[in-house]
Amino acid sequence: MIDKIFVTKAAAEYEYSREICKRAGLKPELIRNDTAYREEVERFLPDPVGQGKRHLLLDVFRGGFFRKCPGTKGKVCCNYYVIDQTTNCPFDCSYCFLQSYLNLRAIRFAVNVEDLFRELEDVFRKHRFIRLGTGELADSLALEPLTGFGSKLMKFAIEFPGVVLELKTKSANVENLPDVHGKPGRGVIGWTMEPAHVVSLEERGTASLAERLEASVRAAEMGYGIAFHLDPVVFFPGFEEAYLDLVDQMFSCHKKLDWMSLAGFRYEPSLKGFVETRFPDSELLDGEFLRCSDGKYRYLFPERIHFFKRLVEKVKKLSPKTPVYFCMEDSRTWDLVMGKKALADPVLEPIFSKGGGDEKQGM
Amino acid sequence: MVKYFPIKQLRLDDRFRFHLGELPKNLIRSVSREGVLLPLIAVGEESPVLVDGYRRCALLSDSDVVAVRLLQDERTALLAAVELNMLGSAYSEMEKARLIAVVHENAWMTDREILDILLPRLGFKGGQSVLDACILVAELLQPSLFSVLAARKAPLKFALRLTGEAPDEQQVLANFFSCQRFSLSQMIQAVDLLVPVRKLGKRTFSAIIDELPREEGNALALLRQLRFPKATEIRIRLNSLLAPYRGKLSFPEDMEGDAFQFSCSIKNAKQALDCGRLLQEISEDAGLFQFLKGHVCDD
Ligand code: SF4
Repeated sequence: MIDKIFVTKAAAEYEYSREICKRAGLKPELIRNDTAYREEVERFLPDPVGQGKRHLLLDVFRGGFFRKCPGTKGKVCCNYYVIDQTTNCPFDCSYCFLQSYLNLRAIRFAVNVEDLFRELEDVFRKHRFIRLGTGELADSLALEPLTGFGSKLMKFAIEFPGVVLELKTKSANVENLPDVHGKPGRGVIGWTMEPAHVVSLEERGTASLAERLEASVRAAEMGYGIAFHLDPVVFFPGFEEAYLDLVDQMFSCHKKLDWMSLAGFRYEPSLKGFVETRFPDSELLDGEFLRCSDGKYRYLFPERIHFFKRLVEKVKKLSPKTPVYFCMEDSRTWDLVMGKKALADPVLEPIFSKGGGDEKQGM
Repeated sequence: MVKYFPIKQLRLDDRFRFHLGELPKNLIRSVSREGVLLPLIAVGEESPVLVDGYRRCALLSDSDVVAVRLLQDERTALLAAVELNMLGSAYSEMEKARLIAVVHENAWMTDREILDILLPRLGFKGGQSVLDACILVAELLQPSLFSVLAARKAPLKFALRLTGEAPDEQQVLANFFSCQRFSLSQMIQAVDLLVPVRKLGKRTFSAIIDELPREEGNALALLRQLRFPKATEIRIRLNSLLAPYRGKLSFPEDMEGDAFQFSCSIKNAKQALDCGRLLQEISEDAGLFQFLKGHVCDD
């Protein structure tokens, strides 16, 4: 998965860098900084996006690690906070927006995690309730066997009451995570779930559907809450039955999820070229799309509504207490699919609680 | 060193004809009025090979004498030509691609030199992947398609995408683009439509294109219908429903909506009455509300 490790001068000072190189069994190359990687390595790669995913760049990050998920203008926001400690990912999904988003192609991993923990401690002490995760610009557990970062972060965050930390992944790397039974915080492992057809065509290098389900059962046994993200829902011939079947499989493993999110596949025009050139067998762009007012392409509105209704109905039947929410959809879609009062449903309280911005009295 | 030569003493070499289009009009005028003012660039002292100035030379007669800047080797001459051209009539991306591929093929520079010197001078951002793209485009694009793309100043990315097509499909595209007199953006749209239509219908480009009418202007619209049958159906239905309301009633272009919008400006009582009548008509138009029900899947 990783075939080269680069260590910046600053990161070389950290014991954590040595630990990672040792676990990877790779001799690191020392470089000045990320710019040097760009100029001396990345520039000479025939396939910078693909090869960059096999390069791990250990670096020190000097800015803030923590931010509010930006959401999308006009879409319903779920008050999620994100930690940007790693950017990029060894997996290779055709729909991944990182292909057109990142300007450094290696996986950049910040080894100064103590700085992150200091920043987080400050945030956690000020908030009564906060839901956060690391899976915005990276897969939270893809590199776990090398870095053990997910475990470190979980061990730290789980000691704070009111903290809900989600590690979002497409891997099955849960065995080294700590047992979290009886801890004051809540640990959640979230998986992106796709029918096997989509996993095999669009998600190179990830765990299979069966492996993800098995891992989710193991994680639940270790005390974790489980979240599943049907994001992106990809339309292909027979997709409706495939996703409904997937929902069956999910709830045959878990009676109730901590949450489940839904989002139809959408894309910025800049992604298209990457899919066409890097994934010739992809079916991602085969559906009918229309360009929406935010510049993104989405499946036809009535088709989305129709399918989401069926899907939500099924989830509600199988697990009425599982909070289901839309990621990146506007309130109209919510109303049409879930009914006018959906957003006020107490089941969604853990998702939409504004606790993230709620400062504790007297602190 | 600059020397004067009669044109017929200059040896020509097609490898160096990088500019594929015509000279800009003002330059043609200037050359025919004043002759060639800026020295041409060539290599070799005794019988120099022309490296830059092919289009200007073509405007002169064999007996004309021109100033030629003589350089020692192809590498230096090419860099001088690039420098000069990037100041004035810069190369298009297709021309740059060919230039880079020629430099590479003739080993006038190492890969590293191409990346460090030539790409930046040509204003190409990127590294090895751009060099590889140039080589692929020069090697794999059929000459007919290459010329059509070059004539429309197509970007390297678009050309690269077409290198994946089989030679006969490339030929079909070249003919199609030329017959339809497509602009660059129309060519891109056409490929965006043709590729999925071919994939989903398991047909070749030529089978799809053969079914399109020959006249210019309709091909893209028809391809759009083939590519987006459901959206086309909705749009046709919507247009016929909205037609009686003379632009006063609308529905979002992207169809991301659960309601029609009505807009009407009222300056006097008569307009208010007209507007009321129209609203009354709309309220009795069952087709509109049926459409809406279907659109939001309200069963
Ligand atoms: S797992 Fe996530 S971050 Fe990694 S390639 Fe896939 S979509 Fe991108």
